[in-house]
Amino acid sequence: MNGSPGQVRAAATILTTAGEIGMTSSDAIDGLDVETWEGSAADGFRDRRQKLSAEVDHHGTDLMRAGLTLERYAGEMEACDTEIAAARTAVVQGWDAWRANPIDVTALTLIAKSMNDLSVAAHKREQFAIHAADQLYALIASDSTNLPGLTWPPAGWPPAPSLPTVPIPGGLDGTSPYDPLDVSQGSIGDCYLLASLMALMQTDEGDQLLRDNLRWDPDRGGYWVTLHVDGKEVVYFVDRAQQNGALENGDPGIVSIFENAVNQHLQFNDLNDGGWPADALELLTGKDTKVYEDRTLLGWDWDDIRDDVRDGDQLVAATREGKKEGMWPVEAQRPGPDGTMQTVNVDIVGSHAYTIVSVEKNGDVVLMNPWGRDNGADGGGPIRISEDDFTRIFHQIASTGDGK
Amino acid sequence: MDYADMSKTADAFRAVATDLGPARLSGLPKGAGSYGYAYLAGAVDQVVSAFNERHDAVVEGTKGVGTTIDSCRLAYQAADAIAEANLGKLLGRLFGVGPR
Repeated sequence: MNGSPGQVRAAATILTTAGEIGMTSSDAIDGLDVETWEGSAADGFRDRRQKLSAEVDHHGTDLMRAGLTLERYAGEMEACDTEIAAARTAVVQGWDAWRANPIDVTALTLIAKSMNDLSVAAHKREQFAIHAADQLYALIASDSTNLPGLTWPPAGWPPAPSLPTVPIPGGLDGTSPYDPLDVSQGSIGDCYLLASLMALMQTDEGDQLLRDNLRWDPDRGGYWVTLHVDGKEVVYFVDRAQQNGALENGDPGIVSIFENAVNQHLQFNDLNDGGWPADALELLTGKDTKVYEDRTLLGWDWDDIRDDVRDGDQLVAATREGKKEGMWPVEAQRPGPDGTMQTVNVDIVGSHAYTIVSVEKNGDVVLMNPWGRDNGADGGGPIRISEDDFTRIFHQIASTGDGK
Repeated sequence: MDYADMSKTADAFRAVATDLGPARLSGLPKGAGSYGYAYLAGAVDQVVSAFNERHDAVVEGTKGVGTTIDSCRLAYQAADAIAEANLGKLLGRLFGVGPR
């Protein structure tokens, strides 16, 4: 086979070494100041220093990321080469056995199986190369418009076997509307992200924003996904969905693509260990997020929250830790089969994020659980709870609005 | 304002620019013979080219901050010199003494 893991590792080392220099230089720039210098020119200097430091740091982390991509590919290449060598040996052994005994059926079976193993390993090797190339292209994808404002975590990805993936369909950036009711969270602890995606999917503007941040690349069979970090666009290439991750109507969909991109951005442990809706909304929209909290004695700022809902902003609420086996049992209302509102007993999940659908005039709040249809806590779909229950159970709301 | 401190900081920015020098990418293995596939080798080539473009931009930016600090320092010093001269003239006119 063409290619040398040693050569790939040599390239990776050059990239990571350069990345380390960049990150060290960024720290050095941060520490440079003229303490006695004050006034507008000094303010300008400090502003430029901060931006320069961020640019150098971004560049350094990108170099590190590229190095880690190649380092990982070298390991994958070696593993495939080992499989290929083993399969070739088995083929030779099969032929030897067959020549020695032409009626040996097991020898022919061994040959066929080993030939197949050989083909699979060679194909896998090529796929790893394509994936590595796509990750490298993603590192420079937004350079033309935003040089060099890319931000990447420097620690690379967990090894592939720990994160099994499944294929995603193409063309999901088309024109059909996204429906938050279709979403169901998988076994990944990223309710904060999915509730935020569902909040966006509630409106045409939110749908459009998601589409604007997504581009299907038919040549590469994947999507270029734009996230927003500290006001900068960060592009990730996504051609697979996380196994056991979020689904739409039972299949990988738009939320699976964003979930994979955020997984690349945060890395799996950080994606999976919970997070804040405000951070997820900022990552998705690139806009500042307002956080409302249940203030001691003062309560919620309902006027501002209602204004945000009325203005079509996206709101996501976070619950306190559940009192009863992690849950908050409440009486809620939901539309029955005949369309009339019915009272039902449901569980609100503790330490969880919910999409806010609306805030009614009487203070009732309509929510959606990202666990989706037929979930064991509330059955899925919008549920309406009283203001008192909301205040008892929820402690924070993140909003893309400004409360005005 | 400590002009010596400004000079020192400007020099420090230029030193960081020099320290960044080795981060310019060179000597990476090339071609499908190294990476196994032309597609990946092409991606590495493009990344190296884009990263070096960025590298040059940040090095120039870092040097530029040093140069700007120097320019500010020179402007402050010139303003100080003019103020000092004018003050001398004023004192001379008021009291008949002072620098001439």
